[in-house]
Amino acid sequence: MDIDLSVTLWGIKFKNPVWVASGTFGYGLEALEIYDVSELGAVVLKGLSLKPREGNEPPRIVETYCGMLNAIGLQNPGVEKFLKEIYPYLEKIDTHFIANVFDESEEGYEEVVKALEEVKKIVAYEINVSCPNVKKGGMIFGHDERLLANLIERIKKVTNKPVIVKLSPNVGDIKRFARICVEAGADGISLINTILAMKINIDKMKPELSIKTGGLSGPAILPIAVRMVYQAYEELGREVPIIGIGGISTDKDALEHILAGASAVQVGTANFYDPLSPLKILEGVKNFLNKKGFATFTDIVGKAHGV
Amino acid sequence: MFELTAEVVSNRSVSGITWEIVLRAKEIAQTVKPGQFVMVETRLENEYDPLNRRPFAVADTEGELISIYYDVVGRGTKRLTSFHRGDTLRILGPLGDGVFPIYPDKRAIVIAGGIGSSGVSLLVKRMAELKVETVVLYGARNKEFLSMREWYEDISRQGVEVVFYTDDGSFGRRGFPVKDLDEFVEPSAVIYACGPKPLLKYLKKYSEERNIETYLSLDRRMACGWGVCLGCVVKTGNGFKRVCKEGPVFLAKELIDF
Ligand SMILES: Cc1cc2nc3c(=O)[nH]c(=O)nc-3n(C[C@H](O)[C@H](O)[C@H](O)COP(=O)(O)OP(=O)(O)OC[C@H]3O[C@@H](n4cnc5c(N)ncnc54)[C@H](O)[C@@H]3O)c2cc1C
Ligand SMILES: Cc1cc2nc3c(=O)[nH]c(=O)nc-3n(C[C@H](O)[C@H](O)[C@H](O)COP(=O)(O)O)c2cc1C
Repeated sequence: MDIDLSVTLWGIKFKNPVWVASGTFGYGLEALEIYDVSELGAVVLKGLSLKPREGNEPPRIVETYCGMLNAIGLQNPGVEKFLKEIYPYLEKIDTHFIANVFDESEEGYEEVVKALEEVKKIVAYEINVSCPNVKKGGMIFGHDERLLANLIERIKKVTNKPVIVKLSPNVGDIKRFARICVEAGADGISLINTILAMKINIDKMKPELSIKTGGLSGPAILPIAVRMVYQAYEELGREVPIIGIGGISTDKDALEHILAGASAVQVGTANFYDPLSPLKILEGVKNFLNKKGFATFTDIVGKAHGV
Repeated sequence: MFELTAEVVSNRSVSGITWEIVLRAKEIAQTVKPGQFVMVETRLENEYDPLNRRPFAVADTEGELISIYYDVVGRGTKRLTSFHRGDTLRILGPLGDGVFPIYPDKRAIVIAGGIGSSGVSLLVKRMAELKVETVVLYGARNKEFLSMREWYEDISRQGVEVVFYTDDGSFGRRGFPVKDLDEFVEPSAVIYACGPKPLLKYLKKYSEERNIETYLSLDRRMACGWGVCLGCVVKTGNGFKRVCKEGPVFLAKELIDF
């Protein structure tokens, strides 16, 4: 059977539902030395802010059981330098790009979005309100209902592209935050970002990371991510697309997200320990559909809800 | 950069805590430059612990084979010892744009501390092939920890001068491999080094005081090894740079804090 893996969201046709997550794939250029990036459904770019950001002091990463902590601190060249020095290379890659946007203030978010508005290959924005590794901005928006709604409303006013809000798992009631996003005008939500965590070096008797805490990612967080995607789908159904992120290493993991309600998935940390994993996942999802007798990928989105 | 399934040709304990693993990885063997490294998977398929691959220098090549000398210091390297001839593991490489530059007309002083010996061995081999005037100062805790001693003794028969050091005097000269630097360094010499942090810090200071061109190969925890996670950065005069991409070899005077 010829399986249709394409997925159309917000009127945009994506080749397939396997994307790569922000901060785990740079701006897509390094990977070109390993494989043909245009095979991916989309590339979510490393977070961009208005001004360049240095990021946090090292040590920024440490491994944990079946996972890792990072506290990169959104190091990035700033949107202007990105457009001048990096974007021209992306034009040659035949897939969609999604800009991950972060800043410390509402104005900052607006300015980044405005700067990217005319850029053709960037088809949507993922608004990062969930980074646990920066002092200002970021997670503050993701944890305060009023600030979050206000931010989304403001961004929606300055763009015609779809706005996906990337939610923090570090909240009590994910359904409530998902609902707030949609009410404020978000076109989609993606979840989850990393989980706030810590590892202590017992010899040095202090935390491993320079800013003490970091974000947990990798296989260890899969069940938490799947639960949150499932709950978000319970709340939103197919009102807006839900993008599943968190702990995806294999096709089986991706399928859990999809069955829980994800219309597309993003592969994150797995890019580090298995650079070819997105391609393997794609192949595996296709085989699964074939085996189960589904003709299109969208048939199985949210299927675990029994609807 | 190649992502390969590499066959284990041999994996043996050398001495002290050091092992040598030889992998069949043709594309890497044929393209690797001195200073470059590979990311090696140390977990079994469908197991996710230890999660990330580990960075190791390519210590030597022969035909389609690459050789890695590794110290067993933690979970990943311990796991690596359990792979046998005929097993396969995934590796990515060669990695790192920052490699050791070779100057045929300048005297080369190569300093290796402990397992740092594997970070400079390919360089020394190239120097020998190109007949660059080279002195290697190779030091370790004691005789047992001079785990690449045989390798360096072999290369010393190809015109490279090798001086061994041990902290306790159990082999070669007693003391650190930098203690007699003045004896070997001349103003136009180039210093290359890989080893523990205090050794590299000493060399940065030493070379800056004397204005000697010096290249240091850094060791940082890495997650991806191919430039995307920004986890392994080091502070330079031009802001943070990725050890896995712009490094692992840096000009000593470029580094601010490491
Ligand atoms: C470019 C590069 C080349 C390298 N080449 C070699 C080589 O040829 N041979 C070799 O033996 N080692 C080499 N290393 C170091 C090697 O990667 C680490 O020793 C290894 O990752 C440890 O893995 P583990 O799982 O056994 O230890 P873990 O369980 O991860 O850690 C064990 C202990 O070592 C510390 N540690 C872990 N990784 C590092 C690190 N990268 N730097 C400093 N401390 C660390 C941890 O904090 C912990 O205390 C290289 C590193 C880099 C960056
Ligand atoms: C090193 C690193 C950097 C990241 N940088 C960003 C970022 O810039 N913006 C963002 O929204 N998420 C960032 N993330 C979060 C990932 O996009 C993803 O949400 C998270 O890692 C969970 O997925 P995973 O378990 O598959 O990695 C980063 C994650 C890691 C590990």
